Amino acid sequence: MTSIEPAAPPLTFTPVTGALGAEISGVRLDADLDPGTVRTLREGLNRHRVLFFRDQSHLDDRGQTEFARLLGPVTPHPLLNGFEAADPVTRFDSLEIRANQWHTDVLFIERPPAFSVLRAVSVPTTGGDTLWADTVAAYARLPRPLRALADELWAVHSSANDYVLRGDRRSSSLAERLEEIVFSARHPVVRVHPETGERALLLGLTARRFEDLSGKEAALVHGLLQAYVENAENTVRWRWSAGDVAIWDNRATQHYAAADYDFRRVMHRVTVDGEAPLSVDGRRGVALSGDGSAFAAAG
Amino acid sequence: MTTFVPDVQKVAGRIGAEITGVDLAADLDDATVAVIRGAILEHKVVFLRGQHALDDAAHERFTARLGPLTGHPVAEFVDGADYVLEIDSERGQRANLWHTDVTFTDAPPAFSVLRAITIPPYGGDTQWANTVTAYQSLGPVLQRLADELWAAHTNAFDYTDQIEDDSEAVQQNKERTRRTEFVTEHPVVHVHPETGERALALGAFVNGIRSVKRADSARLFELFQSHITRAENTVRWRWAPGDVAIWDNRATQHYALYDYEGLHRAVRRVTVEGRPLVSVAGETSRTVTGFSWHEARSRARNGAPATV
Repeated sequence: MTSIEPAAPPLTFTPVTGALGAEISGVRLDADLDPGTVRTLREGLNRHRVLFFRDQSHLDDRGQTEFARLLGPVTPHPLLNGFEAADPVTRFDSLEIRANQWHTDVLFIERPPAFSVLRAVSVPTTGGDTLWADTVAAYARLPRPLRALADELWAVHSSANDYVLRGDRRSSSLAERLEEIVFSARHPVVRVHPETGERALLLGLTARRFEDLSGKEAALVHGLLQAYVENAENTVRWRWSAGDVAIWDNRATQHYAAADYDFRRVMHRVTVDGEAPLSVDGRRGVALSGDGSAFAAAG
Repeated sequence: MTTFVPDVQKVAGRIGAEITGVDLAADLDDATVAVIRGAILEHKVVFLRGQHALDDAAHERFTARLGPLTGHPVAEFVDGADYVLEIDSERGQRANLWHTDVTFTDAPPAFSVLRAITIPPYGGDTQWANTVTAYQSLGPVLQRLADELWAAHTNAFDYTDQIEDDSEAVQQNKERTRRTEFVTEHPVVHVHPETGERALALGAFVNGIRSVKRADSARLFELFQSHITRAENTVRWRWAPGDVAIWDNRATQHYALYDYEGLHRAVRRVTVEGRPLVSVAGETSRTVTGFSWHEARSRARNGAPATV
């Protein structure tokens, strides 16, 4: 018998595509991860944008939340989690809600999450993959005139129409709440990443209009820029098994949950506090309507 | 004659299945081939891993079980094989746009059988889209619109124009693929000859929707093509050497990702002859420039080469 603990196996990062995404093996996600491992994961996020972990079935909501806290203060969702409850876990149940549009999480508040930690609780045998796109690489691929245009633009992101409610939820109190309370925020279309200094496109379905552009112009310019985000060479697609965890840098990605299944799909998400997006000329995103501050950084 | 009991498991929600328990290099019995064919027709693309025994000759032999093999009107073939087309990134050959194979001719291949030879450690996945579920996902109003439309497909202005790479290999490949110019009109919706399903027929060889103005043509193309390429109608396959994908070219588009700059990717393809498409109203595809399927057939009977 020996009391010496076996050395932790080294983390391995295996890229999943030529664009973004890496599968990590050799780690069990929980609140007891040592600071060195957490640092390695954060560096991995800066490089690969989204990290995939298989076989994390030991996690429950609490374990997932405690792990997420290692990345920063966790933030309950301002609309989906209710008002009083500081419950940091957002539950996405396909019977109630779907997210099959390209988007970045919670852009309609001043400080959108830096990271999202998503756990597959129950997934169909086939269908329901999630796709991520690298918004830094998308910016880098823009031809020079479009980059200059994007650098100047500011968009208004609104919570209206952000969610597709299904079944009974269409006439539920959640539906009423989503109609009554509209959060909106003004963010630069190009943000400077706070850790890497890289420029990233900040768009997605919540970008309802662009300042200084008419509605029609905004739709055309949005389509023009968003196409660079969605380009296949810029994406990764993950087929879930129950117990899988994905962590992504919400400041450098968009994602899309494919709704190509008939069975129930339940995913639990915890988000980590971020900063107000910084434009290339040093200005910050601001809230326009809805008080997001009460929901940020519950700790 | 070898009997297998293939197992078929879906890969994505609306398209793709993996078949296990079959060695494509073996002398398959008719029942096994029938199961494979049925799976292709149902799932539009099927994948088989670990087919390392498949060489060029066995690749052709298996493919011929699905129907008569067909040449490619402008491509060159691998030495010693009549119907094996190699797509090699080192020769500037990539297909990173959504397309259906050879739709610039009036009779695009019915099936394509692709085998992975050299695959980078990561990158170079292929995506397929189900053009039948894409049609079904249109509302009745847009379905009726699509049913009426025809599109011109050509190799004269095709996706290779959009490859931003002026390397000699890419330029040579562009010249080769244009040796004979084809322009063909296909219905935007065609009736699948085996399943009877309606499918959208578009992709990167389209250079215009007929009978409408240029600006309208671009918008209509985008309107229908965007349904095809939605994540819900697609599947993405990460290759390993020895993998084989077989797709129904009459019910799919595909896109080979180029996210492996500096790395080598080579795949080989054998195709099965198809027929001119048939519209909902019963009209067939029309050759405007180039030669038609019937002409190619009579040339072949007279001993002319399969390629030009």
